[in-house]
Amino acid sequence: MTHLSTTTGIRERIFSSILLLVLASVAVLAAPPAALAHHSFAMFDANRTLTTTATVKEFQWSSPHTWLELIVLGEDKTDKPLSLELTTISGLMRNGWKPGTLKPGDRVTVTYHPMRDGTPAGQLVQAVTEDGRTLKGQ
Amino acid sequence: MPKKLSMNLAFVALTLGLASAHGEPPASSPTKQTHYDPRNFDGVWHLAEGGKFGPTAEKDGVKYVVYPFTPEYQAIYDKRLADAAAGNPYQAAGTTCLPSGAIRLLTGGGPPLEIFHTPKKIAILKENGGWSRIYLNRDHLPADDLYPMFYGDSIGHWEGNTLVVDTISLGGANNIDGTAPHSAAAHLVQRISRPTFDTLRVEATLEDPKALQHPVTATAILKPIPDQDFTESFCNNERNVRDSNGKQTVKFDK
Repeated sequence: MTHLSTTTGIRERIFSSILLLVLASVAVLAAPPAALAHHSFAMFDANRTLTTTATVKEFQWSSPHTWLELIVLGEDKTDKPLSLELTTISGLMRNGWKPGTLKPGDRVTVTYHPMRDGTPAGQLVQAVTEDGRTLKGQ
Repeated sequence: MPKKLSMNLAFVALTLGLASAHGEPPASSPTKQTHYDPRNFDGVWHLAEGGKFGPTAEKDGVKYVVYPFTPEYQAIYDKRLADAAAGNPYQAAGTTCLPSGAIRLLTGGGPPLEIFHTPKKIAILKENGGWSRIYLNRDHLPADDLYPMFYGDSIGHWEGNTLVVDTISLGGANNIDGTAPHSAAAHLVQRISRPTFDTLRVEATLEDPKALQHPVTATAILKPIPDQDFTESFCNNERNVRDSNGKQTVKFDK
């Protein structure tokens, strides 16, 4: 009986997960394209701070802000994208960054404020490189 | 090497060494230079402290500056603060890669600025916001030549070692600090001085009879960034966006 209840519970959870995935996919496909530009950080939750180790996919040395495209290992052991926003080029330079500070394939430990809506992005607080350098993101 | 020159070099070396040993920068350091032209503001500067036109407060997680607004403009401000608390802050011009305007140029912080002197004008380049020009050789333009501008029509004159800058015809950026509104009647007066080699002091007074019940003032201290050249800053990768529902989000595709 216990086994049956457990199995039923698993089936319900799997069904719920599939349903959520389908609904999420529909929502993403139906979502209107992003419109007006805005430099606000309102979408990041400054009260939450996460830390993870990741592989650099791309370092975007750009304006108005710089971005770090990362690959992280998800709980399901598959690669997941993570986009982290940094400050301006001049702000980074004052923090010791250079255009080539991070290159594709580099491993970094990043601390960041995640998105409020759970999408895989955030505001970088700091990055620690494999050789032990700590670089502030803001 | 002549003996006198040798002794002078030794004295200089000893002086520098003693200064460093006491944690003091050497006399040639930008932070200790005593001989400079207080009427020359050339260089790259950034806001170090101050710059706010009123006391700060916080409501619903949103920090803001308190202004003596008229009822009409207080209602506008309240709406913008409520929108910010809901995660949809006001979109000032600067947030769309346009200049943030004269009122924020010297007192608002953000990316650095660079000041250049010519005989007829002083120009201020904001790294991410274009040029502001202070004309030293004329009065304000006639009213029918004016239109809403980001940096307005700025004229300046010297009172001793203080540059007094008078700016009108603001309206392009249309905000005091990124959120707080002002009207087309806004009038900015800035008294800019360089009391020490590494300090630029800005005393700003903003009057706006339509939006403010009385003028507000701000004092800003700017410090030099002596070892950094300007970087290029043109918006080629804007990823902070709002969707058509007005919600802040991130653009994932380049």
